[in-house]
Formats: sequence, structure tokens, C-alpha cells
Amino acid sequence: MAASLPDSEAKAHRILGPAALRPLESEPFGRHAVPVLDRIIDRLPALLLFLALLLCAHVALFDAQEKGRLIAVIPGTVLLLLYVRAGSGGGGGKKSASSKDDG
Amino acid sequence: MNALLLAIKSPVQLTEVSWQLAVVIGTFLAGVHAYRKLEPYFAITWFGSGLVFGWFFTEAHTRPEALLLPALVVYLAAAVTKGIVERGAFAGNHVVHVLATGVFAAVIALPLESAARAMHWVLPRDAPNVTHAVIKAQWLGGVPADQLVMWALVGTLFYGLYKLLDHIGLGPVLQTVLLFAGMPFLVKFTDYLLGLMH
Repeated sequence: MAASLPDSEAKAHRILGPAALRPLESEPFGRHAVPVLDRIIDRLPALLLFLALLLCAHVALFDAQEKGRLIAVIPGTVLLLLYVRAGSGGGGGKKSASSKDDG
Repeated sequence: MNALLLAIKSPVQLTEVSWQLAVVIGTFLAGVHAYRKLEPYFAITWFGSGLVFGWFFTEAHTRPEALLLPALVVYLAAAVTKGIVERGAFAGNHVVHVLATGVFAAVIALPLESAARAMHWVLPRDAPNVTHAVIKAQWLGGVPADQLVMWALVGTLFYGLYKLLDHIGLGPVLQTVLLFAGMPFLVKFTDYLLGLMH
């Protein structure tokens, strides 16, 4: 098989064996990236809520220069802490028994 | 403070386009969460019906942020509710889920409303005067309490309708048709309830 390949690939084949011919975007990507993406997707509601709070804080401190608006961040922060503490901000299972019908 | 000083003090200037982009990307990411963590069917029906709701809820039909914000806020509220309530004594209690989603929708909308009002960004709509200024806007970071009542109502009714259709034993096709067709009436019902409080 290696004989029919270009020089560089034949050399790689001699050193690494059949693994050298595996396409770059196949298994290694699938194995590592999907769980990482899954964990990120798991945390998206918490992340989006955090970004909403950050947006408000940025506007209050820098853009609008109205620090009183930081009060609007407090209930959301408490909610975010409750959510993270409940363990849903981080990786719960993919589907719990009643998760199908819930948002 | 002049524009130059502001630019030095805050290197990131948030414009109206940033707000538009934030809501659009946020909705997309929430859709990804629904698609991956729940079901593709759920993601399509939630955000599809949310878009229809947004269309009838706002008059700013040309502004994506106004159209998408209700679906995004209520989705986040429902997801947070599920995370908090599902592990407590009220796990599986649909009425508590729906009511908590309403309250959390108001809490999640609060920082967004505050930021948008400070920057004169587009919001779906202004609520009628239902609290008669008993709670001052300054106490809530510049957001009138009427807005929070409206968001709480939107969260409760939107999620309530979804839950109701999901649990009365209808087939998926009829359920979807009724969900989409019910959205204009849901907006009317929200207006009706706000009118009663007015």
C-alpha cells in the first residue's frame, strides 16, 4: 500500500504505520471535541444569563455612566448562583426522565 | 463626559448593533441548547412559536432583537427553573414550574431592560401602567415595575400554554398547529390581563 503513495506519505506510513493514513478530521476530533462541546452546551443557560448581567454592568459602569442601574444585576446574580449551586450550571445528564417536555 | 473620555475609559463601546447581535446570537445559542439537550422538535416548536409570539407582541417588526427577545428570555427562565426546581421538593410539579418560570422571566429580563433603556436600544414594547408607580423605577435599576409584571405574565402564559398542550394528550401535529395558532391569542390574552390590572 505504501508503495503507491507519494514519498512523504510513504515515509509517514513507514514510521507511524496505518495511523498515518487516517484523515485528520476523523476520530481524534470526534472523540475529544464532542464531550467538550457537550459540556459547553450544558452550561449555555448559565453562560447566557451571566452575559446578560455583564452587559448590564458594562452599560451601567461605562456606556451610560449610571451606576444606579447596577441594582438590576442583583436579582439575576442571585438567580445565577442558585442555578449553579443546584448543579445545573454544570454538566447534568443529557436527558433526565422528565426533561423532554421542559424548557 | 465627552465622547473621547468615554472611549478612553471604556474601550468596548456597545452600540445598538451590539445589542441586536447579542440577542440574535443569544437566541441561536439557546436554540442550540434546546436542540442538543432536549429535542430538535422542541427547539423548532419553542423558537418557532416564540418568533410568532414576538411578531404579535411587538410593533417593531423590522427589529430582530424585539422579535426574538421574548422567546429567549422565557427559554432562559424555563431552563433555569428546571435546574432549580427539578432538584427540590417541587420536582415534577408543573404548576410550580410554570409560575417560577414567570417570576424568573422577570428577573432575567430586568438587567436586559435596564441596559437597553439606558442606551435607548429597541425593546419589544412598553407595559401599561399596572403598578401605579408604587415601586419606583430607580429601585429596580431604572426599569418600571410594570415591565417586570409584563415579563412575568409573558413567561407564565407562554410556558403555561406550552405545558398545557404538551400534557393534555394531543398528537404532535395537532399540538404544534395549536401552539403556533395560539400565539396571537396569547398576546391578546396578555394584553387583556394587563388591561384588567390597569
